[in-house]
Amino acid sequence: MKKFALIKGWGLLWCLLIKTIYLLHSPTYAYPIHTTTLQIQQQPITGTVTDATNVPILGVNIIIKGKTKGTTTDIDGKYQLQAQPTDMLVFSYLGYQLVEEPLNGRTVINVQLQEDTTMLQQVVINAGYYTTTERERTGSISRITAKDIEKQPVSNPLASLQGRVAGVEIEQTSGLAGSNFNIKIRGRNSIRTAGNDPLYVIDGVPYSSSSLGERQASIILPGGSGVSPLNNINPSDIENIEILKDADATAIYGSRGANGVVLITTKKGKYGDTKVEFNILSGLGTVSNALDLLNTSEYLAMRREAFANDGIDPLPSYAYDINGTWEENRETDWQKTLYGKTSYLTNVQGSVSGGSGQTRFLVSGNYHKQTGVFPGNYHNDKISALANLSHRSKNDRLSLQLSTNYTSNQNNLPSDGLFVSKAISLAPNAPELYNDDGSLNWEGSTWANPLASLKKTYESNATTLVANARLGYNILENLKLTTNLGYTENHLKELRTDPSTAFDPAYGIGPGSSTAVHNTGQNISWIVEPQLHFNYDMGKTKMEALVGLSFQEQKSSQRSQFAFGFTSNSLIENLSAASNIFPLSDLQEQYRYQAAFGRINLNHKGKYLLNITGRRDGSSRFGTDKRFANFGAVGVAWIFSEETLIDQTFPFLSFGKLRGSYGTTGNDQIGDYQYLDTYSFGTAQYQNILGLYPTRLFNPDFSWETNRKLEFSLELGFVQDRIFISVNHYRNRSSNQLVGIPLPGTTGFSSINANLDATVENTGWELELNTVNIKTKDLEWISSFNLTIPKNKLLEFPDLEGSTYANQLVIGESLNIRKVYRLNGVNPQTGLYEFEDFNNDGIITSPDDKQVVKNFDPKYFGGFSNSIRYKKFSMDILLQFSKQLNWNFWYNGPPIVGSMSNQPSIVLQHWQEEGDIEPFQQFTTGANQEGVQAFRNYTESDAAISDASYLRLKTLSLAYQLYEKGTNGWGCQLFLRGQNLWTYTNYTGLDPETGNQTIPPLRFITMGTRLTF
Amino acid sequence: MDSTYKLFQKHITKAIFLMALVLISCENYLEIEPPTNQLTGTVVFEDVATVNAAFAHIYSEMRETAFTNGAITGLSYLMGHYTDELELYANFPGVQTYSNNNVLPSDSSIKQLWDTGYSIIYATNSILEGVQASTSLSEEEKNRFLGEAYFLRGFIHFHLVNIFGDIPFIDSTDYRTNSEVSRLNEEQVYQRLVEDLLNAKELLPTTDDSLANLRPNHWTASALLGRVYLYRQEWQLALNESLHVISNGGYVLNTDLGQVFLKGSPETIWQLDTGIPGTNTHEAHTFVIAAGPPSNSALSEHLLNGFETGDARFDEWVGTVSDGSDTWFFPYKYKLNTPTGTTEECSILFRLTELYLTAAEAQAQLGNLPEASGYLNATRNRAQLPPITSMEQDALLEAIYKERRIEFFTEQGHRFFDLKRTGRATTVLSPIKPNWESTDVRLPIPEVELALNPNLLPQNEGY
Repeated sequence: MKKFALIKGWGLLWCLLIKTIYLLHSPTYAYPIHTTTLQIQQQPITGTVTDATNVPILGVNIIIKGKTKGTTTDIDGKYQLQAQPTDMLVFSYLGYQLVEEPLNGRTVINVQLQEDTTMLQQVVINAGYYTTTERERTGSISRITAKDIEKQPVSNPLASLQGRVAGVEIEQTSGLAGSNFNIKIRGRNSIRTAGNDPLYVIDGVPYSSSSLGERQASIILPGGSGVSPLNNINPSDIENIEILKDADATAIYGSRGANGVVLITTKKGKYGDTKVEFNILSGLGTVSNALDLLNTSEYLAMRREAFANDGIDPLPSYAYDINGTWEENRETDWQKTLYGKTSYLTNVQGSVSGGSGQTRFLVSGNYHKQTGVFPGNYHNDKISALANLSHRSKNDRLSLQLSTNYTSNQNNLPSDGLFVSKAISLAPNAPELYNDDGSLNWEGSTWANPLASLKKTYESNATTLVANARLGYNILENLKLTTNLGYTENHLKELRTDPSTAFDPAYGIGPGSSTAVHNTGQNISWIVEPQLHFNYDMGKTKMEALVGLSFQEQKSSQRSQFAFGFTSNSLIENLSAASNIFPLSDLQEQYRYQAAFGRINLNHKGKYLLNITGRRDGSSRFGTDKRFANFGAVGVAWIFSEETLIDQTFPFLSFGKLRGSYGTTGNDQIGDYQYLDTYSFGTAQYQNILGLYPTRLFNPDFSWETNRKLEFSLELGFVQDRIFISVNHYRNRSSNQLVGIPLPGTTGFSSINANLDATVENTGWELELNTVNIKTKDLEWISSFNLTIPKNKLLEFPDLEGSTYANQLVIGESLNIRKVYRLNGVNPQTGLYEFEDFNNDGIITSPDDKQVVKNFDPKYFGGFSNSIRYKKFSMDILLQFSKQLNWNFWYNGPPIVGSMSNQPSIVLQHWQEEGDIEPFQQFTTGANQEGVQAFRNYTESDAAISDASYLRLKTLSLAYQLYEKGTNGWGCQLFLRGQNLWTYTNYTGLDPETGNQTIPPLRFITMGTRLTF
Repeated sequence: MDSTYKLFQKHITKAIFLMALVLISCENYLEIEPPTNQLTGTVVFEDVATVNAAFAHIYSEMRETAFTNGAITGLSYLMGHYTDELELYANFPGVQTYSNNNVLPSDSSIKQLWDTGYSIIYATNSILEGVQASTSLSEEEKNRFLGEAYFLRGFIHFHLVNIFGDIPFIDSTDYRTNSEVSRLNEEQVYQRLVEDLLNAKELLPTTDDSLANLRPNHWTASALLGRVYLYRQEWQLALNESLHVISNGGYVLNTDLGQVFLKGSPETIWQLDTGIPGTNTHEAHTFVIAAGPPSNSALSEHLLNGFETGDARFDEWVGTVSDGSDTWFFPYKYKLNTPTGTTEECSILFRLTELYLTAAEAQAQLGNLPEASGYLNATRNRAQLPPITSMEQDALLEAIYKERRIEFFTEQGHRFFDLKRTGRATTVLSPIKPNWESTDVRLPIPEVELALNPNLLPQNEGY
C-alpha cells in the first residue's frame, strides 16, 4: 500500500527517531553525562596572545574544547577565563592557524599564533543537512563568502556569483532593477526550458524562486516573469553561499537536487565585544553601450532610396519623415534621450552584533535605493532587516538558533519596455518630445510620442519573510537530535496602469478607456525536519551518521484583476472607481512534500573517506501511483598526501586529494496539479457566465525526471597550499525527461506533460586555481581563477524524426541549438539576400531549409579575480568572460531596412545597383514582396547570430583602511567600487549578455565608507 | 554503543507502537485538495450550469481571440486588408503583410487563426464526449448541448477550410491521433462538416427564448448550411435552407438601416454577447476613427467606389472624419466604442439578409431569375435603391455579388470568401493589389505546425 511506501527501507530511521523521543522523555536515560567532571574545581587561567612578530592580537577567540565557554583577547592580547585543570583551550583567529593547548594544571598560557597561508583546508563547508570541511569533503561544493559579496554594489545575491564559481552559468536578463537572473548549475538537464532552476535554501528553509508576478502586469521585465523573489534577499546579510553540484552533495536533496542546490546562510553574531557597523554607499550608474545608428542625413537618404527602389512616386502622405511633414534637419539621439539618464544608487547598512557566554546575536538593517535610467521618476527601494540569535544551555546539551529575515521591496518602472526598442527604431528626425507649453507633442498625430509611456506606470511591492528555528539536543555525548523549523512568506502586489492620457488627445480617448491591472500574489510555506546525528569514534575510523525526515507544504495564491473605465484618471489606481472589473486570474495552489533522508560518513585515518547519502521522496505534484521515488549517492575521497610514500617523494606537495562520486537525483519542477484532468474557470464572461475551459491534456502517469551524476576530481596544494588547484570532471545524464511535449495546434493545446524517454548529457571540466602570490606583513596578493568548459548533448531520443521535436533538436547536439537558414550573401543582380536551398526545391522554406545548426551554449566561461593589499590599501578586481554565440541585432530587430525605422549604420554597406557586392540587400519600404521575404529569412538565418563572447571588468574595488578598530577604538574604511566598468566584445547589439530588447547591465561607480565601533 | 543497543531493545515494542502512530497521522499527507479554480472533468458534465459555462468559454474565445473576433486579429479586419476593403495607415508590420498580400507561414497571426480554431474544436469535442457520457443530464439537455457542439465544430472547420484549404478534421480529444493527423482534401472536410451541421440542425431546438440569439439554435444551423451549400454550389440545397429560415425562422429584415447592428435587431440570427455588461463591440474599437489622419485603417476607395449613388447604407454604415483638408471614411456599422449603461451592440455572425441574398443567388443559378431578383430587391429596397426588374442571368449574378460586397463589407471576411468561392479573386484583386497571386486564395499553414507535425506537409502552394 502506498501509504506505507515511505517506511520501506527506512525502518532504522524510525527506530532512531522514536528512541530519541523516548530518551527525551525518560529522566533515567537523559541523565547528564558530565556529572562527575562538573564537580571539579574551576580555576582562573590567564595569558597573552601574540602574532609571529610578538604584536598582541585583539579579538582572538578562546574556547574550552568540548564546551561553549569562552572569551576573547583584549587590545593588549590578554585574556582571562575559568577552566578545570584537565581542560584544553582552543585559540582561533581568522587568518591564523588554530592552536590547541591542554592545560595540564597550568594557569598561565601564552600563545603565539602562526599566520595561516590559505586556511583552505580548514574551512567549514555547509552541506545543508550536515557540515564538512574543505579538506574532508567528498562532494563538489563551491563557496562564496561575504568578503566577495560585499565588494559588489548589487541588489540580487545571484549577481555576486557571476564569474566566481566554476560550473555555474549565470546570466542577467536585464539591467532593469528587479529583473531575473538565469542560473544553470552544470548545464541544462531538462528539455523543458522552465525546469532548470536549482533549489534555493536559505538558512535551511527552501525558498521558491518562481515569481508571483502576473504577465500582463509585469510585461516590462524580460521573460514575463515579474520581479525575482531572490531580489528580496539582501546580499549584505549573507555570510556565505554554498553551491552543491555533484551527486554526493545533492542526492540528500533527492527529487529537487537535479539542477544543483544553492545554500544561502545569513550572518550570525560572533562571540566577543558588541560590535556596531555602518556601511554607507552611494553611486552613479549608466547604460554603458549605445548602438551606432544612422544619423539624420544617412537615414533620409536610406528612405528616399527605398521609395525610389520600390518605384513609389510621389511620396505617400504617411511618409512623414521625408515628405516635408517633419523637419529634415532635426537630429535626436534617441538612445541618449530615452535611456541615457544617470541612475543613482544609495545603500545604507547598519548592524549590531556580539555574544558572550551562551548567547550570540546579530541585528542588521538595510536601505537600498536605485533610480532608473529612463526619463521620469523611477526607482527601486528596498528595506530589509535581519535578526539572528543563537543560544546554548549551560550544560551544553540544548542549543537554539533563530533567524528572521524580512524585506520590503518597492519597484517602480514604466509599464512597458518600449523605450529601448523605440530608442533604436525612431527616425532621427522624429518630432520634438514637448511643445513649448510643456505638453507632449503629437505633431498633428503623425507619431506616437515615446514619452507617452511615462504616463503608464508599473509598481510592484514585495515583502518577504524567512524565519527559521533550529533546535538541537545532545541526548548522549555522540547522539544529537536536531529539528529544523522554517517558515517563509512572500507577498507581491503589482499595479500597472494605462491611462487615456498616454494616447494622442486628437483621438478623443477619455478616462472611460483607461485601464489598470492589479495583481496580488502570495506564497506561504513551512517545513519541519527532525534529524538525528550520530558520531562514533572507533579509533582509527570515525563514523558520522544522520537520519532525518522532512515535511513541507507550500500554498500559493494569485489574484489579478483588470479594471477599466474610470471617471477620472486620477482615480485609476482605485479598483472601486473602475466602471468595469474582471478577473484575470484567481489561483490557489498547494504543494506538499515528504521525505526521509540519511547519511553515513566513514573517515579512516583522516585519509580514506566514504560518504553515502540517500533520500526517499514523495511529492504531491505527481499522480497517486507515481508519488514516491528513491535517490542516493556514494562519494569517496583519498587524501593521498597523507601517505608516507607520497609525502616523502613529493615534499613540495602540501595537499593532494582524489575524489569521486556517483548517484541519482531528481527533478519535480512541473508545477502543481498537472496530473489532474480538470476544467478551470477562465476570466472572460459570456451571458454573465464565467467560462470554464479544459485546463490541459490529461496524463496522470508522468513521473520524476532522473539525473545520474558522476564526478572525478583532483585537488592539489603546493608550498603550504599557497598554490591550490582543483580540477573536476563531471558527467550528468538526465533521463525520463519530464516535458511539456510541444504539440501541433490541431490537438487544441500547445503541449502535454509526459515523460519522454530521452537522455540529455552534460559533461564538463572545471578548473579552479587559487594562488597566494605575495604574502608579507605589508603586501598581500591573492589570485583566483576559474574556468568551465561545458558540453551539453542530447544522447538519445527515440524516434526523434517522427516526434514533435524533429526540427528543434538533433541527436548528438546541444539542447540549446537553433536551426537557421544559411545566408549566401546578396545577389549582385537582384540586390536581395540569397539563402542555401538545402532541399533543392527552388524556394526557401522552413523547416527544410533551416539546416544550419548553431549552438548557443558557452564554449567556456569563467572569471579571474585578484585581491591585492598593501598596508592600508586594498584592491579587488574581477574579470568575467564567456565564449558564446547569441542572436544579434537582426533577430527580433527593427522592421525592414528602408521602412520608417532607424537602422544601425552598418546597413550603409548595401546593394544599390547591379554588380554591387555588399553585405546588405537593397532598401525597400516594405512594398517589395521578395525583399520583405528575403529580409524575414535573413533575420532567421545564420546572419542573425553572431559571436557574443565577452570579457567584462565585472568588479573593481579600491579600499583604504583609515582607522583600525584594534588600534584606534573605532574603524573606518573608505572604498570606491565599480561594477560592469568595461566590456570587450565584438557583439553587434546592445549587450552580449542581455541582447537588444532591454536595458543592458548598468555601469556603476560607487563610493562609500564602513564604520565599525 | 552497547548501552544504546540495550536501550533500544528494551523499548522496541513501544517504539514500534509510536512509529505506527506517527505514520498513521501522516499517511495521507500527500493527498491535497484539488485547486479552488478547477473542477474535475467528469463533474462538469453532470450539471447544466457547468456545461453552460464550458460553452461560455467557447463563445468568449470566439469574441476575444478566434478568427471571429472584431479586433485586429479577426477576419473582419485582416481580410478587409487582404482584399480591397481597407487601407492601412498605421505602421503595423503584422498587418502590412495582409495589405501587401505578403503573408508568411511564420506570421504569428496565421498561427493564431489556426490555433484558436483548433482549440475551440478541442473544447467542442470535449463537450461532445463529456455530455454523451453524462449520467445526470436529461435527454433534452443532452440534445441541446450536443447540437450546439456539433454546430460549433462544423462552423470552425468551415472557416478553417476556407482560409487554409485542405485541413485535418478533428473529431476527438485524443492528442495521440490529433498530433499526427493528416490533412483531408477540401471535399472530404466539407463532407464531415456538413454531417455535423445536419446533426446540429436536427438536435438543436427551433426556439429557445432563454438563450435569445446569443447562442446558435436550429435556425442558425440551417443558415450556416445554406452558406455551406452556396459555397459548394449546391444551389437547390442552398435555396432550401435559406427558404427554411426566411419562411419559418421568425426573423424579419430590419427596415431601419441604422438599427440593423443594434443588439435587439429582429434580423439577427446569431450574435456574440459582450464580455462585460455595458461594453460594446471590438469592431467599433477597431474601425471607428475619432480624428484624422487615421491611426489605424480607413475604408479603401475601391470599396467606396462600389456604392451606387443614393445607397442609404453609405449614409448609415460609413462614417467620415476630416482634418480640415482631407476626409477619410470608415466602417460605421458598429458605432459605440465606449461603454454604455447597458450593452447596445454585439458582434453579429449571422443575419437574415444573408439568407435573402443566398436565396437570390441560388435562384439565379437555378435559372429562376424573377424569384432571384425578388430576394435581391428586398435588400436593395431597404437600402433605398431602385429594384432590379429584368436582367440576364450573368448580369443578375453580378448584381448579387455586388450587393453582397456592399451589404457585408468588413463583416467576418465575407468579401474574401465570396471572391474566392466564385473564382473571381484574382480577376478582381490583381489589378489593384500588385502582389496578388492566384495562390493567395489560401493562407499558408503555420510554419511551426508543419515542423511539429510533418504529416501536414506539404505547405500550401505559393508559400
